[in-house]
Amino acid sequence: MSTVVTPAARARWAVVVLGTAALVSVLGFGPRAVAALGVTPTELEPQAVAARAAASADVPYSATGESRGALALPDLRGFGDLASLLGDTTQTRTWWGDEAHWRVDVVDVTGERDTYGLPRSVWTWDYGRRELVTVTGGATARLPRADDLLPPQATRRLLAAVGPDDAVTALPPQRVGGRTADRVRVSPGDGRSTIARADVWVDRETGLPLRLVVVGTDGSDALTTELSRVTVGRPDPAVLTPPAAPGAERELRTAPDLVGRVAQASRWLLPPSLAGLPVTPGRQAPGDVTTYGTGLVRVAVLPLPPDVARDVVGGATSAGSVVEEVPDGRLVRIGSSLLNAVLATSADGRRAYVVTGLVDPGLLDEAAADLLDAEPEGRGPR
Amino acid sequence: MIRVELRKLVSRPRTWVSIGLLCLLPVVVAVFLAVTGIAPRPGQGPTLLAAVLGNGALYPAAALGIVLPFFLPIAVAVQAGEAVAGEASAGTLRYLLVRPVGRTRLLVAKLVSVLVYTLLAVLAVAVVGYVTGISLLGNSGQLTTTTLAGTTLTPASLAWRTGVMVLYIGWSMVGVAAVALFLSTVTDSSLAAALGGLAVLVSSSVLVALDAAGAVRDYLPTRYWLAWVDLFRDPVPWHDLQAGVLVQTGYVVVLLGAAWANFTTRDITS
Repeated sequence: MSTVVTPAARARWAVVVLGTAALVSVLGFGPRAVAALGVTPTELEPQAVAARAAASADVPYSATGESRGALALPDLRGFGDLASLLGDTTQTRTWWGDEAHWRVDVVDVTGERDTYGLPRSVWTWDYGRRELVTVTGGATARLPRADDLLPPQATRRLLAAVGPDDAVTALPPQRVGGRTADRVRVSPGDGRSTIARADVWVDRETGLPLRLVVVGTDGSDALTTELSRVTVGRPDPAVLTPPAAPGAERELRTAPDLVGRVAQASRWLLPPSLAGLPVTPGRQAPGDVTTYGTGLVRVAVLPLPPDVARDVVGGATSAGSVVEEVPDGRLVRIGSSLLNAVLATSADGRRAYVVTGLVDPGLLDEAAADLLDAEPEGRGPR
Repeated sequence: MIRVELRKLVSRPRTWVSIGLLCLLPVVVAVFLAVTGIAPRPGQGPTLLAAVLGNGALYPAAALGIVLPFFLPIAVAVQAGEAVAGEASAGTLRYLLVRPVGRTRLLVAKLVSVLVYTLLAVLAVAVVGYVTGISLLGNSGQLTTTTLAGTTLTPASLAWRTGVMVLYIGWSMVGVAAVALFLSTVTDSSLAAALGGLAVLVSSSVLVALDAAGAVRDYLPTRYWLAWVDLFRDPVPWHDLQAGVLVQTGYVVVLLGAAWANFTTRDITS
């Protein structure tokens, strides 16, 4: 097929090419150009920016969100969506009134799983299972949920743990989703933390954390979570009301998951310190998971009933983890670049613990050895 | 000219055979569901299919979800790829242009014909899906139709959501048609034009699923194809639907512009 190129033909192609270039410029590079525009530095000290972020729980907003985890954890039975939550991309929609009135939807193309926070209960709606679950009782021990990975929640939790040895420094402000954000970097003061640094983008107008990037000691981004399409203001109360869900299965629970059930049933008194780390100061209510350490180096310990421990160890070894014999029992290590865990079982099989934290595996081994070495007070988990 | 092309479209048996085949798969799926009563496991299978047992009114959406990934784009690409290249390969294009018909008018007539086919195909699947759903799956009264968020869907709400879904999927397919129509003006082989259009879609689907292609993902033609699912959430998140319409419009404008520039420029030798 031959073509005679005339001036009219050139003009037609010029229209098409210029139109395409204009379209690509406006749609493709426009938003990036706006994002790259410089923003004025903040007058606040980094500690003040962090304090605003830590006090942002009452900022009402609606937004979409995305979290990307790079933690290669095995998918263990009883641990729900933990592996995919921390190892994959999760898309969310959030409506936040305050800590007792919120809703977070995890959406995908086949359905959605919605969590509603109410004053005395948490409701979850799973479209795929057509199941509406109400959890009452205010259990604090539980597995991480998608709403824990939202930038505001994850940042508040991180900042609440920052100790006097950890550093909070300022970074140049940037724009996130069209909003001006002040930026701070949190760096652990203790080399045993697996967090190399955590960068937080804080909305200058409201103090709401808009983005959080946690970098592991291996230099990779272990967790990136970001809000987009943020609208500040109290959501419609109807949106925060759990659905009627006609025809759905309904269930009432007093513990949200395996961790909550085990923590509630636990009667062991754990030692006052492990691996040189004292019990974390603060009130420990029944049903809490006991934590040790201060600042960003903290170790959580959860005693497991023997049957649950066998299941967990079996699942972990099936996923490739190796059982190591130690003087007082056995250890199974589960590791990722950021989050590490050790399943410790006593030689007689009567006692078992999950020891976990964003810390060096060696520290967890020491804590596990101390647990296996000490005779616990009280009864084991029921 | 447009009337001629539309008459040609509706009088061709293959138009109706292809639409019939498109509708066949959802009917077969509905028969199996009705006979066995086994829906896909939660979170698996085409979107909304797990919810149609006892909720036949949801089946139009599920039926479109069944044909959207492969069969609908194939049908539209074949139709659009054949529009100009088919005339060229049959040796009738130059005779068409011998008549006092401008090339732009001919291209517009072909475009309208492809648009009508696309809308017909989407509507046919939706209507057949509704009739099949109500008659085979019915509304047993055990389940009330709900959104993905578990809130109740009234018949009026379901109707407007399904209507917008048909329009949205139709517009997404116009993007496919634009790719194939452009290629149809480039080659004399309608098969090559159709396959070229499908190659673009397959490439787009691969890149959409690739994290490393995140920088360009939002501009790929298939990126927002499944955003129609958002119509069945509560509240409806409109942003992906709006972005989908914008992206498809961009491709349609650019590719139809290129088709026009190419078709009005080239020498017609067949």
